[in-house]
Amino acid sequence: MHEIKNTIYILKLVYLACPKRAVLSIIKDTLGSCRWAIYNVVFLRLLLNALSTKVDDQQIHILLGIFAVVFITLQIFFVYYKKVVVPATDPILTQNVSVMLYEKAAAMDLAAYEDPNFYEQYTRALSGARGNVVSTFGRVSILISMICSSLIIFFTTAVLDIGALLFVIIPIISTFTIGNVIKKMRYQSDMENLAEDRKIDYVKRVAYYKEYAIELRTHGIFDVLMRDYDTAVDKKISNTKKYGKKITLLSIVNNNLNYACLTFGVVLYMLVRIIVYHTIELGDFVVTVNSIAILANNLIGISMQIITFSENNQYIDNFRKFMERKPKVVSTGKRKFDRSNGLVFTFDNVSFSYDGRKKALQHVCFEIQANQKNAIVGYNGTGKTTLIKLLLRLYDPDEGRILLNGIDIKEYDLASYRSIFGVCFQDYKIFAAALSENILMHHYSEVDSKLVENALKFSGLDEFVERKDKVMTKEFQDDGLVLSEGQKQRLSIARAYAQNTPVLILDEPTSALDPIVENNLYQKIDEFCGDKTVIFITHHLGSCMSADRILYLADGEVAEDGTFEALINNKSYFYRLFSKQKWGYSDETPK
Amino acid sequence: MKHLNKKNGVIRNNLFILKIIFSTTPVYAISFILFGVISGFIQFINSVYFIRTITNQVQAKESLNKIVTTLIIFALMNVAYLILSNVCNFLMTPLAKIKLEKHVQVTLLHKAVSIGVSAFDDPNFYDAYILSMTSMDKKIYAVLETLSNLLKSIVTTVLTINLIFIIDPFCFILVIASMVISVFGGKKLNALLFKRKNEMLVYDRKMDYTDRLFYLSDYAKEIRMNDISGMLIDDYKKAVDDIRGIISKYSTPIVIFSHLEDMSTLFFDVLYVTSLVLRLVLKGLISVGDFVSMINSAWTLSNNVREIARLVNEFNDYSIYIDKFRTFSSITDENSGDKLLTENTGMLSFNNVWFHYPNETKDVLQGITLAIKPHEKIALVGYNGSGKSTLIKLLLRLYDPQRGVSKQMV
Repeated sequence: MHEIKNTIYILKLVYLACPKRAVLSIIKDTLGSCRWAIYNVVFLRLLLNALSTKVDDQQIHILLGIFAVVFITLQIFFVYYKKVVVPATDPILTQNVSVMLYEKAAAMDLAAYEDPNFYEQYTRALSGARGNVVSTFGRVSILISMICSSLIIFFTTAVLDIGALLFVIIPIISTFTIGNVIKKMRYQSDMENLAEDRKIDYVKRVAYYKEYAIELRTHGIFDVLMRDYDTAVDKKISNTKKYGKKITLLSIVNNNLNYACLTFGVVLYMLVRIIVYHTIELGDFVVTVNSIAILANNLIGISMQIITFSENNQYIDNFRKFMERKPKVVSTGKRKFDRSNGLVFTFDNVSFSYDGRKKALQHVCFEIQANQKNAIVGYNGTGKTTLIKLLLRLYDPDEGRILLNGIDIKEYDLASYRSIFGVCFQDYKIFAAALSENILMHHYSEVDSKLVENALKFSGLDEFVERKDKVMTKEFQDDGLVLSEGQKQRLSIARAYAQNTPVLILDEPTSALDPIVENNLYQKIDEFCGDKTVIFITHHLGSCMSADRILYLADGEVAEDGTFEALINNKSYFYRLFSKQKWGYSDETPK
Repeated sequence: MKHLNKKNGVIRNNLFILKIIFSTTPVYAISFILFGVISGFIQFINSVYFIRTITNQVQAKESLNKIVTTLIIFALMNVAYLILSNVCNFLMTPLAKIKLEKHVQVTLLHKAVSIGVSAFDDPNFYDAYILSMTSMDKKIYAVLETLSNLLKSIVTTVLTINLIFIIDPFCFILVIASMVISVFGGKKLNALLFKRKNEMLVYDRKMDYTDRLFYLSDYAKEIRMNDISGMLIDDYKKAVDDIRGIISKYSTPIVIFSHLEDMSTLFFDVLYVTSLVLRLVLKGLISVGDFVSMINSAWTLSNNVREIARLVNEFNDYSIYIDKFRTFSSITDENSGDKLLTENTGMLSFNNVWFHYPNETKDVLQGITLAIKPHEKIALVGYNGSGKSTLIKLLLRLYDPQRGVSKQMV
C-alpha cells in the first residue's frame, strides 16, 4: 500500500512538473513492451494459421504490409520520444523539481539543519534529487508497461488455451509471498548496513574535505578513524553474509518454481495436447510456448522491479518527508513593519533551548530602543548568538515573547519582518557571483553603484570599488576573485550595511581583523549609523566604549545591563572581565 | 607536488581498473566473467534455440518420450543456471563489492591524507581530483559488471548470428548489412551527442553549485536573511534556459541521424521477415521451428546489438573518471627524508625562507631567518595577512618553502 502511495506521488510530481513528458513516457514504454507481445501473439499466429489453412498469397502480403506500416510508425514515434521529447523536457522537469526543492529548503527552519538525523536523511534525499525523480519515474513507467504487456499476453493466450494459464498462478503466488520475504530481508540488511555506511562516509568526508586536511596531517587521528572504518566494513561483511545466504536460498526456490511452472510445465502440457490428444495445431503450439516465454520474462522483470523498488521507495520516503515537513517558525499574522510606529524590541521573559534540555537562554528580559548602539558581551556559550538568532526569528523562543513596538514578532509577516535586519554573521559565506552582488545579495544594476561604493568604504574595502564587477571564488572562473579571511569578513560587514535596513546586526564582526581595522569600523559605525539600531557581539571589550549600552550575558541570563561607565562603576561581571583583558588576563589586577 | 594530467586511452583505463579488480578479488572476478559467458549461452538457448528444437521435433513427429527427454535436458540446464545466477547475484556479488570498495577506499584514503595540503588549495584541482574520489569506490565495480554484461551480449549475438547463417544465409547477409549501417550511423550520432554533452558541462556545474548552496547548512542563514535565493534561482533558471538552447541547437541533426539509423535497420528487418515468410509459406523451404526461431533471432539480435552499443559507451564514461582516479593516485608526494627524530628535540631554524602559495604570486614570507631553541615559548604577532599562520604551516611541513630551508638541528 505504501509503495502504491509513493508510486502515485512520483507520478503526480512528474505530471505536475511536466505533463507532456509524463504522458508520452508511459505511452512510449507501454507501446514498446506491447510491440513484441502483439507481434508474437497476433502476427505470428495469423501467419502460422494462414499457413496451415493454405490461404492465398495476397492475404499474406496484406498482413505483412500492415505490420510493416505499424512497426515503422511505432519506430518513428520512439525516435521522436527519445531524441526530441526526452532532451527537450529533461531540463524543464529538473528545473521544476529543483526550484520546488530550493524554495522548500529556503523556507525550512534553520533548526532542521541542526538536527543531524533529519539533515543526514534530507541531504541524502536531495543530493541527486533531480536524477532520482527522473529515474524513479522511468522505473514506474517501465513497470506499468510490463504489466500492460503481460495482461495483453495473458488475455490473448486465454483465448487460445485457458489451461496453459493455470501455470501462471503458482509463480504469481510465489512471487508475492517468497518475493515479499526477500524484499523484507533486503530491506533489513540495507538498514543494518546503513549505520556502517554512515561511519564509512564520515571517514571519507574527513579524508577528502578541505576543512580537515591540516588536522589530519599534524595529529594521529586518522589511525583512530581507520580502526573504526575497519570495524564498520567487517560488520557489513558479516551482515551481508548472514542475509545473503538466506536471500540466495529463497531466491533459488522462487526462480526454480517459476521456471518449473512457466516453462517446463507449460511446454509439457502443450506437448501432451499436441502429440497425445492432437487438440491443437502446430502454429498454436509454437505461439503459446513463445507467449508464455515472454510472459515469464515479464513476470521476472516485474518481480525484479518490485524488489529494486524498495530502494526507490526509501528515496521517495525521504523526499516526501522533506516536502511535507512544515516549518515551525511561521507567522500568525500578516502585519507589515512600519517605521513610523517606532522601532522598539522587547524581550519578555524569553527562554530557549536547542535540544529541549540545556537552556541556552533563561528568562531574558530587556528592551532595545531605536537608533541605539548595543553591545552584547559575555564568555563563550553564554547565549549571545542564540539571542540574535531568536531576534531574527531563525528560531522561536520556547517560553516568553519577543515584541516589536509592543506586538509579538510572530504576528509580522516573516519576510517583511526579517527585512528589517542587515546581518553580518560569524560564519559569513561568499557566493560565486560578482563582488557587487555579494554585497547587494541581488542582481546588480546601475542604480546600486553608489550603495555598493558606500558599503565597501564603510567596511574599509575602498580598494575594491574598481573591482566590484569581478566574479568571486574560483568556482566557475579560474581568475575569480579570492579574498583573504580578513577581507571576507569586511565584505560581510559591507553586505550587512548595504541592506540599508533600520537595524544592523554584527556577530563578532572583527574576529579576523587586526586592531587598527577594528577600531576604524567602530568609528565608521558612530559616523554613519546614527539613524540605525546597531547590535554587535564582541569579545574585545574595548570596543564597547563606543556603545550606548552593554548587555552582559552569563549562563543564558542577562547578568548586567547598562552604559559602559555604569558597568565599570558596578565593579561586577563586566568590570572583572574588562580588567582582566586590560591587564593581560592575569588574576591580579593592579591597584 | 606533481600531477600527471595525461589522458589515457579508454581501453587502457578500463584495463587498469580490471587489473585492480582481478588482484583484489581474483576468484570472484573470474567467476563473474565466466558467469557472463554462461548467461549469454543460456539467453541464446532460451530465446532462440529451445523453441526451434522442440518445434522441429514435434513437426517431425518424434515420440513423446524423446521430446520430453530433450525438454528435461533444457530444464536441467536452466535449473543449474538459476542456482548459479542467484549465488552470484545475491551472495558473491555483494561480498565482492564490499571487499572491492574497501580496497579502493583504503588506497584512496591513505593517498588523500598523505598528499600535501597544497593539493587542496587549487579549487579546480580539488573538485576534479580529490572531491570526486568520494564516489569513486562505488564506480569501480561497474567496470566488471559492464564487462560481464558485454560478454553475455556478445556470446548471445555470435551464437544467434551463427544460427541465422546455418538456417538461411540470405538472412545472414541482411543482418550483417543492417548491423554495419547501424554501427556507422551510431558513430556519427555518438559524436554529436558527445559534443552536446561537453557544451552542457559548464551548466551542470552551475546546477551542482546551486544545489550545494541550498542544501548545505553553511549558507542557510544568509539565504534566510537576504533575498539572495531569488537571485540564485534566477541564475539557475538562466542556466537551464541555456541548456535548452544547446539541446534545441543539436536537435535536428540528432533526430535525422537517429531516423536514418533506425529506418535502415528497420528496412532490413522487414526484408528479413518478408523473405522468411515467403520461403516458409510459398515454398515450404524451412520448417516451422526454424521460422519461429529466426523471428525470435531477429529481436534477440536487435536487443543485444543495442545493448552492446550501450555497454561499449559505458566504458567511455568510466574512462573519464578512471582518468581522475589515476591522476589522483599518481600525485607524487613532497620528498621525505629517512632521518628519524630522537626524543631529544634540538633547535629549529629558518634560514632565508621564501614562500608563496601555489597559483599566487605574492610572497607571503620573504627571507625569514630565525632560530627557536628547545623549551622556548614564542609569540608570533602581526597584522592580518602578514604570514603568521603561514610560518606555522611551513614549520609543520604542510607546505615547503620555495627558497631557503627550515631545519631541525639535533
